Amino acid sequence: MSTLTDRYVAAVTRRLPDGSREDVGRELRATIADTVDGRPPGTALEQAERGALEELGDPERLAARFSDAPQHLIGPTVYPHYLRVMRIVLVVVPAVATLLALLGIVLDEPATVGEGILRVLGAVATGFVQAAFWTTLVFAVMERVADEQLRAGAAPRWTVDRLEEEPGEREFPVAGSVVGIVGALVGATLLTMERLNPRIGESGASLFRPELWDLWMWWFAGLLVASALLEVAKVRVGHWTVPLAAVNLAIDLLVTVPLVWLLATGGLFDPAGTAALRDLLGWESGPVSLVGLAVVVAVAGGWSALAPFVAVARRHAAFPPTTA
Amino acid sequence: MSEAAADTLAAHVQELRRGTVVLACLTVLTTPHYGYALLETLAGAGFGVDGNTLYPLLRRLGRQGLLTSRWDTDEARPRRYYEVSARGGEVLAGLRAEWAALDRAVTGLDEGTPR
Repeated sequence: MSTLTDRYVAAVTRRLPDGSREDVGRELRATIADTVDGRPPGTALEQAERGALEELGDPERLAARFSDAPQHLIGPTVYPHYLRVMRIVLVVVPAVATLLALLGIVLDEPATVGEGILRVLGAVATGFVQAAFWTTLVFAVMERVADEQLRAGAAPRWTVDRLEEEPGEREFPVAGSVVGIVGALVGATLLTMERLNPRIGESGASLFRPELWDLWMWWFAGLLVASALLEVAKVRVGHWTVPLAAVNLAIDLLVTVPLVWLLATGGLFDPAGTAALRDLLGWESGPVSLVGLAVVVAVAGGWSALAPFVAVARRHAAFPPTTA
Repeated sequence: MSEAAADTLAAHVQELRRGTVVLACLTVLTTPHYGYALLETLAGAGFGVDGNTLYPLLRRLGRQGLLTSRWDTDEARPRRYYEVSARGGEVLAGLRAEWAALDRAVTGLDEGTPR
């Protein structure tokens, strides 16, 4: 039956490389024996042995110290570089995964809107986890394989040229705003004039349901005018603020929700029109992925509604409001 | 001293010790010692070190070529003796010089600082 010391020494040396295993084991035994001998007079042998071993501590940690391996996954030299890469990767990869999921939705119609949304969420989660794992793995390997010089060189030497541009006061280029305003007004006009409802083929069936012009198209036209006004306000303020973002959110909801509902319930497209379109283009008859389009519109609408708030938050972080 | 100050002090003292333990070891090991004897000598001189820090450190210094070691099998209990090598002696001299320079620097700063 092994003594406590035997078991301890075995636990330490088990984790050591072959070469030093026996030597360290021998020395460790001698040291433990010396420590026990050096105990205060009157201490029981067993107690002294326990004390000596517990002083040396967790055999795994002791073995780690003997082997001189780095006790961290990613070291301080490389860590800031790692963070920078992670920040980029954790945004780009889930975004790409999401776009691919949306494409998949349009091409391969999900059974319900719920399933479509789950697919998108799944893509975001998977993209995020995969990106985090592989990036961390690469850096952990680099920490162990590359020597100090290589690691220091991995992050290029900082010079003043790399100083960040100050976040601009003006977030909206004027040209873009002008195009947006004009486009919104023109679109509103065309909508109300029913010019945006193309007739297709010999039968003259319309693409969109004509009933829509009783209510919905006026609704959308009105919101286009509202978005033009919002664009004017954006130009005057120069950057996203919470009120602007809130108005944007409201307009977005008022457009997206009815549009998604119309798409999902088949109230947008005229069946005669879509059939004529299919005949014209020579497509196989199959369900236009209405649910798919609905999901895409919902996600796009959600994104454009929420992104300004993110911009406001980021701006607050960069320019903390001075306390009055 | 408040408890918070004592905790902070303990952390900084640990850093200070960590920075000087090699100097202390090399100084003692100008004469051959085995692991436990070194620990006792350091402790007796007021430089307490944990065994699980000291013993791996001796191996590392050996790998760096600052120490030589040999097994003494004369006694009933075989022990591994460490001693400063030629390179180790050079490094020790350098560290002692650095230590003296630091002492002068800190003393100079202290005296030069108006209170």
